[in-house]
Amino acid sequence: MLKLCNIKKQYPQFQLQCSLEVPKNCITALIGPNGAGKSTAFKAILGLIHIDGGEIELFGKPFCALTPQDRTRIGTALCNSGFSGYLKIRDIVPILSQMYPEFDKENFLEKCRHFDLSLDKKINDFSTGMKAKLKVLLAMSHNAQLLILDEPTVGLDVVAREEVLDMLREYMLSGERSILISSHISSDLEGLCDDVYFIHEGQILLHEEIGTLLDCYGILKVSGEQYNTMNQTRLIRKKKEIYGYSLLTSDKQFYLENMPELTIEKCSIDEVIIMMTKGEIL
Amino acid sequence: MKGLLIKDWKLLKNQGRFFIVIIMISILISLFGSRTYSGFTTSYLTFALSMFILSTLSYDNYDNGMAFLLSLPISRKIYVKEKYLFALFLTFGFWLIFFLIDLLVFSIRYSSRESLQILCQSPVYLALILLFLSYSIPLHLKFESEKGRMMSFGILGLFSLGIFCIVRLGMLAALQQILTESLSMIIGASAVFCLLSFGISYRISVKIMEKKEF
Amino acid sequence: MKLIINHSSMLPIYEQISGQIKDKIIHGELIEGAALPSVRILARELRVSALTVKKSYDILEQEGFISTIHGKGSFVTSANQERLAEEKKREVESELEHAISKGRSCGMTDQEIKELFHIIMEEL
Repeated sequence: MLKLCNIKKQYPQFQLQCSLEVPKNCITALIGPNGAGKSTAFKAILGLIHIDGGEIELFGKPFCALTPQDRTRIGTALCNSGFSGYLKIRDIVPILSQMYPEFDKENFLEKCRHFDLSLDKKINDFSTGMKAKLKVLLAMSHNAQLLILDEPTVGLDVVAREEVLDMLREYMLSGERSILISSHISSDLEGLCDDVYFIHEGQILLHEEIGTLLDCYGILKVSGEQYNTMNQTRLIRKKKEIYGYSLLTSDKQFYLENMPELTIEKCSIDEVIIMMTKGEIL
Repeated sequence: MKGLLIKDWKLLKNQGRFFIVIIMISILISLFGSRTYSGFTTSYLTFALSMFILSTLSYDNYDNGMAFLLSLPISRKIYVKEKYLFALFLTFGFWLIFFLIDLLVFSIRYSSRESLQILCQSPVYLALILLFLSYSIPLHLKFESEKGRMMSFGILGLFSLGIFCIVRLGMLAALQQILTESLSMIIGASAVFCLLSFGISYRISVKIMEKKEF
Repeated sequence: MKLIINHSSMLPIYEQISGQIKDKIIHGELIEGAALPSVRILARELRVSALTVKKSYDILEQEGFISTIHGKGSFVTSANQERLAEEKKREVESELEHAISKGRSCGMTDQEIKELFHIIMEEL
């Protein structure tokens, strides 16, 4: 559905260089610390910036060959950009009807009612959470095949986040759709995404299926002596701790079976991020 | 593009009350103002209203809104096209309204010959406003709203200075003579010039937008 | 489908899913020909990745418990209850073998292993 082949973007203090792919019927997550390059990658996909190298392919076509028609198949929600705050939802509906032939007005208005989004209030007067929900609803309102969501759950409380995530799960039930989502809130992604790209300082450091990450990756907490005597072949990262080291492994089963005396924990995406960013590469 | 037109129209509708006030003022001035002021005020008001075109650019840029706008299924060329079209509609539309108001009022207040004299000035102002927009829109697109606005007014200031110099240097008489001699040619040339600058401005704006990154 | 996933368990989620579905089939909760929910629907219910659900469905298909018809979905095959029970027994056998050889390899005597076995059995 979407392919980034070795795209490069040079800024004075920062360089983005990455490849990623969002297959059909897949929810792909792009995670990483602030300033890692997530927004840059999204801007490149949406044509907001020009790339210095590499290729972007959408729906099987190279980026420059995309027609406005093709672009109606993309639904976007950006975290720090949206419709002018002086507009009301009632104003936006005709705009979208014109721009997107498949805009489903009834469904959209129904969803707005469901989430208590007043049609006659200026967007500026919405709370952060309501603005975020509106953006996601707008992205999903026109039967887009590809959703590009940049931090869609930021500013939402737990309940609202779960509602948005459930909307996304429901969205995936019909047709051949894909989602590319970036988020800080990893716990959201664990229950939603199929695969994860981890980006740091402009480079993709890790790409795994969520299942592999949650089932095979693990954190080992070991003392200094244990570290020196153990089999280190399946370790990816090492981090110094007060008690010794915490280690990231991509094969916790191996350690569960052969070194059951070690403290072995399941890994959350958050912990992977911390280890990949702060840990020493092994 | 229609979607963008709807958007800009809705944004301006929010300022609806302001527009009505302006039209009321125009009517009042035409009805009760002294002769010397009549034509000028309405053209000034048209100018003020066409400034709203520039304000839609500000609205778009505000709060990083351009990023989202350009992620919609429109090309940058279409975005620029819509702005110019909107500018034309709005300027011409309001100019027409004020022109008709003036026509009505003056035909009541003044003799037909006097009204005609005043009303002949109106198209000139229309042309000047279009000229102003021709260089303001690309400036606003290239530089952010604040800078753009300062620059357009700066250029206006320079222009006024130029007129002032011409008057001071006593060249006004010479200018007036040229005008009366080949009036129709000058009118024709000016009209063409205005349209041309509008067109060139459009091309330049498209280039600016296509290069810009958000 | 009423499945309970333990996210804190060391057991991979796909194994939890396939294991629980297997149990349902063995115990007759899912009868022959019953349709399983689509991958996406189950993924939504359980709040897990669709790929994980797909993996568990693939395993179930490999082991002969379900069959997938493209475009229609997955259905429980005519499972032979006895064969399934046999398979479970075989699994228990191999795990016991594994435990015993491990015990022996780290120096436990057969007596110690038997005692340990009884203690654990009492506890469970």
